[in-house]
Amino acid sequence: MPTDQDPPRPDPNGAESEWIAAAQTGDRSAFARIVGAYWDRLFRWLYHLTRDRHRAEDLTQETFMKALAAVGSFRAGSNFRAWLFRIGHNNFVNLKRSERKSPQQPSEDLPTPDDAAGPLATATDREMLEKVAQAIRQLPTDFRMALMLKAEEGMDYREIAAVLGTTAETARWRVFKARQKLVKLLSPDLFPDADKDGPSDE
Amino acid sequence: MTCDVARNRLLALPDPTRPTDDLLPHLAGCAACRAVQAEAVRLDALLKRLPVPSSEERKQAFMNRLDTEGPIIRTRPVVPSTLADSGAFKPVVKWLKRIDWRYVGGGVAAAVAIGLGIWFLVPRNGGVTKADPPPRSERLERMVKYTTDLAKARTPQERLGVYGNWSADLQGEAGDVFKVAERDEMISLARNFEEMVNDGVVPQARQIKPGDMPPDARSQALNDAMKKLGDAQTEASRLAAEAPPNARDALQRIAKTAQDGRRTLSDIAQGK
Amino acid sequence: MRTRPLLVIAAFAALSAWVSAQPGSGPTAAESLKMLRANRGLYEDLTKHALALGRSNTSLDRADECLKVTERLAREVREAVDRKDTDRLAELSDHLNTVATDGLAPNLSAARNDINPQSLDYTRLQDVHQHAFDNLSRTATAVPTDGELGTSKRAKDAREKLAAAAAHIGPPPPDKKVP
Repeated sequence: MPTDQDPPRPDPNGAESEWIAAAQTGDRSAFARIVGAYWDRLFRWLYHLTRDRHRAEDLTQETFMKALAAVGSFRAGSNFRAWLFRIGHNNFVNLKRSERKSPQQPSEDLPTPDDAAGPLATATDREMLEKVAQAIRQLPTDFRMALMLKAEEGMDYREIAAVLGTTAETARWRVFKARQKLVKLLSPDLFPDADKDGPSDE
Repeated sequence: MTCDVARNRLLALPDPTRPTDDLLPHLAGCAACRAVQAEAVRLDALLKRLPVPSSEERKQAFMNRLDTEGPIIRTRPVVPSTLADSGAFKPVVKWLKRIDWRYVGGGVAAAVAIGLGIWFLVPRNGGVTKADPPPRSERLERMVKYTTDLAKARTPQERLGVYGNWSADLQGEAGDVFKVAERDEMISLARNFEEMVNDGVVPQARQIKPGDMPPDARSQALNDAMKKLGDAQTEASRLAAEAPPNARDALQRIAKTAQDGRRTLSDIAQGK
Repeated sequence: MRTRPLLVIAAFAALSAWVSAQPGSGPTAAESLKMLRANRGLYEDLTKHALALGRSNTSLDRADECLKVTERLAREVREAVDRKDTDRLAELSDHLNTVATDGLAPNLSAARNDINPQSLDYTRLQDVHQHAFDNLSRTATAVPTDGELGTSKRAKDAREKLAAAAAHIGPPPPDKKVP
């Protein structure tokens, strides 16, 4: 039975722990380094949730502002990434709540071709990525949250659970359901010539 | 292992490129499931490459602000956290200022007269026609909903929220029937309230450890629960003062349970 | 400008007429007491199961607890059938359907994904699943199809909902030993 016994995400070069410790003493340039390390990743995740660049940027900024205000209470040695993304998650949830009361139109701010797969990507790649992007949009938000934390951040289920405020089991369930749905939606495109209905080799 | 089970397990793996040992024999013998594995692997790779717009300008602007601003950044909400913040009330206030309230006074007087007239003249049957089914127990409906919420809850804070609502409902029920219920019925409600607080709310609150979640989220969860207990205590105490003798004990019991529960949660919140 | 005060008065009058014609909001104390007395045993049992759910740490435990709730509600449904109480039948069938669909089924599914077929828990899972399916199927067939009760629309709806819940849960997959 697969279990997630991975330890909390290690700090690859020890630098992050130093930045955090310095930020906790009021060193804003240390915090700016933390922003530099995490902004793009947090923004990506929030963009996949909001599908709106401006909202994602607002949420990212709001998250860092709250993190700066609260960094003094962060417990050294615990998982900073999960802590930060958790703040982002809560900001997103608050935004959704407020938008239920006064709905706003998402802006049509789609990635430019330069943002996409890169100059070496073929037309086929770009087309496939667009299909995947469309399929992701069809996922329920909870599933999308968990899946993108797994896919982009490589978080284990315990960490995803900490971000989403749920259990590792639920995190695994949501990733599973998200992949299941995407595979179903994209299957003809992922491997156009594959025959998955054929008999087993057994 | 059936293909269904194997495929479900593959899709639930932390990393589809590394199937667990118990999956390997099945994969070795099943091309169809190997194809599903390949799909899952390709999908994960594509997800990593999904394009997003650049946010470089905003990032740099924020980092520059960090360097130039003073020791405290006053948080300016960029998303409205309350309706008031959103400015939604401004058009309402503007409209209200334009009303001539003399006409409103006349309108209210006329409306009261018409309303009373209708109330006297229209036959009342509890507002329910013979064809309408009898009202269902809303309390039972809520308890069923809370039950399914608990079945879905995966964290202590989720369960704490449900138990808090359930306790509030129990106190509400006692408030609805205290003037007409028998003593044992009131005591039964008080006992249910005690169970819900002492065996539901408090244990879940204890499980929300500092460090398991951001401090503000933890405080919010515990404060919400404390508020519900505080409201229950206030209301039960108020009703106990006017209650008939066979309901007074039960209401006082509810008030005391709520008070004790609130104190315990306060201790938990302070790390005692 | 004389029209403005008339419009305001007319608006208030219409509003007042509408409000007066509405049924009173919320049950009276007597109605609340009547419902409390009709459901007291059920309230006690649901409270007990709710606290047990809070102590359940696995999907299987939660599914098992939800099974107990559905069995309790099924008993109420059968008692309503015996008393030929259509309203009660409709009410409790809805609740049974809700718990089965929103509480029991998801936890059974999750347990099925998590539990190794070779483990001891698997036997328990199969047992819980079988009981869940049997309970819903039996309760659906306990609602008659004839007589005054059985031919009423609400009884038909109740029967269909329960049958749909049973189909949603489905029977457990057959045990399969891995060679």
